[in-house]
Amino acid sequence: MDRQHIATFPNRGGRRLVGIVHEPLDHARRDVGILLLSPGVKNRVGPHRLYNKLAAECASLGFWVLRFDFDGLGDSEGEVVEPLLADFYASIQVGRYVDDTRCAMDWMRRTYGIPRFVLGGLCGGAITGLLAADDDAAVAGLLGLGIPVILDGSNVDRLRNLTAGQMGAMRSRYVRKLLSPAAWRRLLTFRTDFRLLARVLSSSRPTPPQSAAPAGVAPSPATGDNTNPHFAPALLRMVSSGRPVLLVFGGADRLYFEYKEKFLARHEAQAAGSASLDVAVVEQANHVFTFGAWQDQVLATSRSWLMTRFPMPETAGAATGSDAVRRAGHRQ
Amino acid sequence: MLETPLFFDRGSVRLFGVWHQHTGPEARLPFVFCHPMAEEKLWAHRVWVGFARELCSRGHHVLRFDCAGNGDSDLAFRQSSIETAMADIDAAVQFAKGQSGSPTVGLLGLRLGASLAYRVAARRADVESLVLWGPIVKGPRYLQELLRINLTTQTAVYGVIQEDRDDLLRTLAAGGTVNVDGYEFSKAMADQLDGLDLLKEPPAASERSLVVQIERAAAAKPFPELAALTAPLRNASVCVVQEEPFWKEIPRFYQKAPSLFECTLRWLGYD
Repeated sequence: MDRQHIATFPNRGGRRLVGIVHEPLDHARRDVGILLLSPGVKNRVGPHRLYNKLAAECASLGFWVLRFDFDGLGDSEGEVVEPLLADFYASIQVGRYVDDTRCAMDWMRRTYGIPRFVLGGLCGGAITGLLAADDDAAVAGLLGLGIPVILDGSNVDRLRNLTAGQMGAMRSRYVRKLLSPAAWRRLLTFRTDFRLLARVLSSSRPTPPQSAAPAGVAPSPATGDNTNPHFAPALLRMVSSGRPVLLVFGGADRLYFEYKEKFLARHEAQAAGSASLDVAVVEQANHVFTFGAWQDQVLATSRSWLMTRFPMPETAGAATGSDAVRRAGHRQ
Repeated sequence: MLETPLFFDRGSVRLFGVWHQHTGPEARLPFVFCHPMAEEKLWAHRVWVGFARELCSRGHHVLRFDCAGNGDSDLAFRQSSIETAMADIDAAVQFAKGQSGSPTVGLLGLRLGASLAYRVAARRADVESLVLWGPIVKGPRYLQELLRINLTTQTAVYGVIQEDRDDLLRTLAAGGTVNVDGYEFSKAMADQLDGLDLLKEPPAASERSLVVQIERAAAAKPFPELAALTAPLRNASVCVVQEEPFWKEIPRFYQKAPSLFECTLRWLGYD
């Protein structure tokens, strides 16, 4: 059970950000709080209100949770100047909202006295959390759902950067469509994406992962590799510092293939050697965990990870959430 | 202009809203915005915010709010329906009147929110102006669109359709829910959508109305059903504007819909 409060606070540009705080009603703890970082352009509720459900789950474990809108999104002030989503996503993937995240942590620390945070989020929220964790000891852990390993952008050639996993999945789909009259109709009326079809069919064997770049080194742009050069160094630094990281992927999400081929294959030894990195896959799920059973798995996995990695301190529960609100002079 | 995020009540249900308060000397007609449902609401959000700010800068107070089961309001989506959403709009109108001191309001809705605004305006005498952006006139057709989204998701993740349209309808008939973009649509919602036909319902009682058809292609002709919708209304007009369907995922990030805004502001008397 939780009680929700409206939160507003300024970011470093002086623009007001809007969010919702979930106050735990039982076993409230203030050693670690949780911030849920908005995914892409969807606001603080996330796709199909996933963040509302995740926040309630976290609050039931005693965590204070803040989910909020970044600058230019949701109900917050500010403007996004990029006209295309792909370019906007690219800006998030290189840290556009790291400062907003730090402002949110500062505000939670000042308002509720919470010193450290697990940063959580889907997609753009996850990569923002990872980048914000770099060099910030206030970040206690990362709960990343469908974290992107690559850089988006309107100038990125998606076809050229398809992973072997993606191509394998597409090839299977094309094979299944051989008996579909509708698929043949699309083909014969030139509505099929022939470039994609040719790319998938011409690559009958999986492309070996590009492994030229050693750990922590950005791949050369000349290779056309769209891997985010910030991803691997930030993740490896975080797990080597012993801070827990949970990455959850949908099994049918292209981002999972990209994680395996563009991060894991290149850094397997370091990733496998880290005791603080957990990876979970929700079989068959898509990027946003659309179906209810997938959402339930995400919630259960997150819950289990939080309970294991952030066990309740013995002193927790002495102060109820409402006590903390009163001390902070917060108005409901 | 002041923007105040807040909660207000509809009985025991708490609704989230943002009150855009005009701080100049003379406030004009306050508007209540009626959002599209489920994921359409999220994609359209910044257009919503942008137009609220436009109106507020011209002297209107605006209440944007989340219907129960949406956004930051109470209830799970499966507990919501057309009826609960209309009750929410009623509560929002009362709230806006109380906040502004105005005896009347304007309603502005998008997609299904526009349909609900129309219905609410048919049973209330205090809706002075009605603005419908891309209203859903026929609920059954919209319901079929929603089912198609479920089928598309199945195809994308499983490669095949495991539950076809008839299976989904049987699930609803048996009291189950159907997942659309992650939202669980209930039998009540589906039944009430199936019974939605604005052309067969009592007309909105507003003093003036604007119906906007939003089209991707330039020079699209007005839908006859929108002309039929406005026929029984007082001082009503139809306008066709060219915009991308910003309530869906599209390559562009829509924060403002210039043609839509211009058409609506002109109708409201602004150059």
